[in-house]
Amino acid sequence: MSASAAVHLQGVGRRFGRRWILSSLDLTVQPGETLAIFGNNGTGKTTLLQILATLLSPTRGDITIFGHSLAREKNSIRRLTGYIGHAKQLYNHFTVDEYLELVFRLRHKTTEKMRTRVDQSLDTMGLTAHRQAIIETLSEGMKKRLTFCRLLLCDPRLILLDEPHPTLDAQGKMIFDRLMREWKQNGKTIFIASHEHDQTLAHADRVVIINEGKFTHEVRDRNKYVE
Amino acid sequence: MLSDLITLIQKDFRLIIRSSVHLFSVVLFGVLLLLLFSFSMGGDIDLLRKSAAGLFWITVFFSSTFFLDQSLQYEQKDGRIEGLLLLGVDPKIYYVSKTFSNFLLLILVEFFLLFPLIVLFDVPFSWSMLTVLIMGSFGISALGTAYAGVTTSLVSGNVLLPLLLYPMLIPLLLAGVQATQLCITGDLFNERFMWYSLLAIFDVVFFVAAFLCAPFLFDKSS
Repeated sequence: MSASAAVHLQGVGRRFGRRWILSSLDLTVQPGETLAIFGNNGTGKTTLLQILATLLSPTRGDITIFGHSLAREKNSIRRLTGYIGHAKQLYNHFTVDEYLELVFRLRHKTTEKMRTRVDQSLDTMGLTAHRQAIIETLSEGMKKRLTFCRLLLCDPRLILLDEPHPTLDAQGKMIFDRLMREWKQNGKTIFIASHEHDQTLAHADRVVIINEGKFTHEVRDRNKYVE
Repeated sequence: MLSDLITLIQKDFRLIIRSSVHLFSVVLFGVLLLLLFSFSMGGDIDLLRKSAAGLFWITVFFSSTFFLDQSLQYEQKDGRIEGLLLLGVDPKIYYVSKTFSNFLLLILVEFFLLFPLIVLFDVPFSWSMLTVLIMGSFGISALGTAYAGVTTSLVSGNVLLPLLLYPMLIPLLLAGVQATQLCITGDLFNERFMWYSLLAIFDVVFFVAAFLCAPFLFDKSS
C-alpha cells in the first residue's frame, strides 16, 4: 500500500444475509484522482460508496482513507468525506437558508464566516433566488442542487457521488461540470458511480467496471474506454 | 459537543413548530381522554380525585407514544440521521438531543393536560406534583427515544414500539402514579420520597444505558 494513497481497499467484501454484494475488492486511488465506477444495477456500486462514506461497514477486508483506518477512525474519515447518494438527507420543513446554516453549524462547530460560505454555495449552485423557499416546495432537480450546496459547505477531501446526474436539468449539468473541474483543480479525490457514461467520462482519470461485486475491468486512460 | 446539542435541539423545535398540527392532535387526544374518563365517573369528587393520578399517567403514557415514534420516523426517512452523522454528529449527542427534545415536548403536552386535570378532577396543583411529572417524563423520553431508535428502521416498527416500551415502563408508571397520588391526597408518612427515588433510579439507569448504546442504535455502521 502506498502511504500517500487517498483511498486503499484490500480484500473488501460486504454481505447482506447470505448474499455477497461485494466479494473481494482491491483498489488504490491517489489524491486528486477521479475514479468513475460503472456497472449494471445491483452490482455493488452504491454499497461500495456507502462503505467509503462510513454508512456501512465491510464484512471483511481493510480500508484506509487518507491514512485513517475505516475500522478504527470512522469519525476522522467523516470529517474528510462528503457523500451524495440516493437519499437526499434534506429537512423538507426547513427553508434552504435554514438547512444550510444547520449543515454549517454541525460541520464546522462555529458560525464564523457562515453567512459568506452559505451565500457562496447558493450562488455557485444557482439557488440564491430560492434561499427563503421551503425545501418541500423545490423541484427534485433543485433539491439535488441543494445537496451539492451541502457538499460545498463541508469542503471534503474525498467526494463520493452516487448517480449525481439524473434529476439535474441542462443548467444543473453545466454547473456540475464546472464544479467537477474546480474540484479537480483543487486536488479533490472523487468517486463517481453513474450510468451516464459520457458525462462521467469527461471528468474521470480512471474507470473501473464492477460486476457481481468484483472489479472486472480497469481502464487507466479514459480515451481507451471510449474506444 | 454542547454547540451540537443546542443546534440539534433547535432543529427539533423548529420542526415541531413547522408541523404543529401533530402537536395539536396529541394534546387533543390527551384532553379528550381525560374528558371521557371524568364523564364516565360522574360527579363523585372523591372518586375523581382518587383515580386522577392513574388516569393522568395513562393519558401521558399513550400520548407520548405518538410523538416518540414520529420524531424518530421523520429522521429515518430520506437518510436524515445518516446525513447528521456524516456531518460529524456523535450518535451519543444525537441521542441526548432527541431525548431532551422529546422530554420538552412531553412537558409541553402535560402542561396542556394539567388544565383539564385540575378542572375536571378537582386536583390541587402543587410543585411536588410538577417534580414528579418532570422525573416521569424524563424516564419516558430516555427509554422511549432509545426504543424508537431500534424500532423505526424496522418494518411495522410503529406497532413494535408500544409492545416493547410499555412493559419496560411499568416501574416508572407505578412510581409516577403513587407519587402523584400522594401529592393530590396528602402524604402523612413522607412515603413519596421512596417513589421519587425509584423514579430517579429509573431515569439515571436507562439514560446512561441508552447513552452508551447510542452508536449501535443510530449508526448502522457500528
